[in-house]
Amino acid sequence: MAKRLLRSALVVVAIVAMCLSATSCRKAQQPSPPPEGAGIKGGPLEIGVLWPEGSAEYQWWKGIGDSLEKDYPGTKVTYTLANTQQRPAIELRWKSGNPPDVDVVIFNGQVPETHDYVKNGMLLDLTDALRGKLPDGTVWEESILPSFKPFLQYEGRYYAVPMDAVVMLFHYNKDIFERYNLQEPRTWDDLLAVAQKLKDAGVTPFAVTGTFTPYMGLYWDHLLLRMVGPEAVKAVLFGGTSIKENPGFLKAAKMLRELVDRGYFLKGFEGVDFTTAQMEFFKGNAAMILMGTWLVGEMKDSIPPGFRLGLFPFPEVPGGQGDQAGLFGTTFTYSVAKASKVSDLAVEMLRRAATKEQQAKRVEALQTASPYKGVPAPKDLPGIDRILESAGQSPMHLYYSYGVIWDKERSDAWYNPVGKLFMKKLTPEQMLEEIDSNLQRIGPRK
Amino acid sequence: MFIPFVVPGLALYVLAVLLPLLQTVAFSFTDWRGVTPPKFAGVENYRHVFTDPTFWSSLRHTLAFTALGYVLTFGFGLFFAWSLTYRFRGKHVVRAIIFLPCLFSVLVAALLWKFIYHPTLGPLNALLSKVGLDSLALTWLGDVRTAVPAVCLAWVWQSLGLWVLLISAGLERIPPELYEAARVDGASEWAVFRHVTIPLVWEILRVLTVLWLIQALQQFAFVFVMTKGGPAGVTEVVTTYIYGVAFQSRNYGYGMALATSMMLVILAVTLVVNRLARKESVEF
Repeated sequence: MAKRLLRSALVVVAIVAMCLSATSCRKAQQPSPPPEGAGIKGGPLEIGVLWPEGSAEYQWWKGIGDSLEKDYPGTKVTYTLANTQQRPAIELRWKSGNPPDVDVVIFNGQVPETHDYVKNGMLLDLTDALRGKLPDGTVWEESILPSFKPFLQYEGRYYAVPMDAVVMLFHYNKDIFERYNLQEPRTWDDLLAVAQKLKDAGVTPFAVTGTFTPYMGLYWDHLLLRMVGPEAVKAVLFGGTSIKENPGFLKAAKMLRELVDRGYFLKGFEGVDFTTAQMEFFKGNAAMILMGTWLVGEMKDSIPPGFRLGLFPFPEVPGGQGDQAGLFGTTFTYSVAKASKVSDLAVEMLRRAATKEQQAKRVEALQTASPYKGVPAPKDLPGIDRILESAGQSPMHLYYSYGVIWDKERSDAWYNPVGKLFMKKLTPEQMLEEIDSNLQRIGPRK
Repeated sequence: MFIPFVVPGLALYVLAVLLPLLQTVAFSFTDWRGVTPPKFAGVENYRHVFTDPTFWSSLRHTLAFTALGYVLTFGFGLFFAWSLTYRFRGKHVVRAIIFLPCLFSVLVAALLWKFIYHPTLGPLNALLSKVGLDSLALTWLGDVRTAVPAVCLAWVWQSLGLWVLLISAGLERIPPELYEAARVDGASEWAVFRHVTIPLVWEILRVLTVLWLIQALQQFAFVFVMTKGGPAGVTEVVTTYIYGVAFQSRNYGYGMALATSMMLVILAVTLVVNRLARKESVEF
């Protein structure tokens, strides 16, 4: 009897042992947290997000946050809205020493105004983390498209990681282009020819808003990029050089005025806000709009079913002395506060967000482009991956006009005369005169 | 015996008004971007205020808003308040209609008018086109000629009721016998208004004017919501400019110098107007 009991007990123990062993084997087959994620302690973590609760972006971050909460006991992730409207309040929190653990757009390597956060030791140096591997085995730094790296660095060190590739491109209505047998313009003359054909057919070529001057300024910035190049513009805008020294500026101003004089812009654009201008484009009342690639995500709920969107970069300007292939854009940068008590956990969250799998999910959910290599283009932004790849190693130029928007006084000095040119209140010569006198009064950037 | 009652109020005033004010003035002498510790800059910020073209243009716009707003508010305000001194059917309804916009929040009123002025979707241009006045269907908020009056009208529409109410309170104080005596003497209604109403309500109008100036010179919300200072900066007022310098450029030191300068401008304007409008008060 005792022997039978002992045998039964041994059998039970053996079965339990086999089960346990099988379970542990299954666990071993699952992807275990990689070395970079090992030894991290859980805790409360706050991240700044760009879209409110319920949005696709919020849900995407929450998915990653949930995985952290599962893998690191004691972790509780909170999501704080940190979009444009909330920035002043969030920045006050930074200044008072109570920042979110992870924040968005607090740093941009191309915006000197944000470098103070690094200089004052408020941001975590992410260089070592970026030289490590992502959970999918790729080296984090190498997985980022080179064009976007300057936005993440200060003096060669990384203080941010990228999320979403934002590029200024002409968005066009493919149906309208096909109806009138039009091709994507490659040169300025092509663009004028396309616009004229559209106008002759009774279609407004370009939707634009007159109530937000930098959107009109996009035309000016692109023309100057092609005509005189970024260094010449920066010398005028930030360096105290007179705009009159380079005749390319006047040529660009005349080309811009030509667009206005030919009546290519949306009727009444002067009083149309940007949402309406965008709606007019998606309603088929204008064939093209020069806008950031956030457009589709932003207008997602208003885009009519079956709308076919095409993209092309601002055309080349033959004879121009500037950068003929350059693009304006940026990326939404995410940084970790040095004061964070869970900085390792914060880095781990960003690391998980950077995998190809997560980037593909984000691209699909938000219909934005990814700044990471090998992530397919979203279906609503056809060809964006091709455009980004073609940018190759050349750095992307920060919009608007190399970050001038961060300096209100200089931004107004630069863009307000452009707005007046669009409204036919200034001639090209007068516009340059006004810009010059404004900038001369402000002086070079300190 | 008196001090304990004053202390709580005084403490609140010092903490909520005086200290921030002094702090603003102190920071206005620094170069401070909010992140690095403030660096003493002497009068550099104030020197810059004097040479800053945007400050001067925004000050001109502020004064234009204030002047136009004053004419419209006090013109219509006096007219309505005086009209409401008469007895007529539906007087309460008219009073309610005039006061109704005051119940809208500034944001709602600004957005409502932004929609009304919309060049393609707004009812104003649709109405003008319908009655054959297409030439008057303008891009109200996008045209450098019409943007200031358009914003001003929205602002006056929203606040008019309150000023009518305040002026009415002043008119109600005038003894009816004085009107009766003037009418018995054969005075026309215009003469009654000019020689009886205005002199007797002058003190109140003067106080209201000063109050108006203080709040009008700080106008922010309507401009910020309706035009954000556009088109091409023609509606930029000092307050929106200060906001931009402080929160867009993060140049807090200069923003505070602008704010302090504007405080001095408001002080000077109100003192001058108060002095100029002072008359020997009429006892009644």
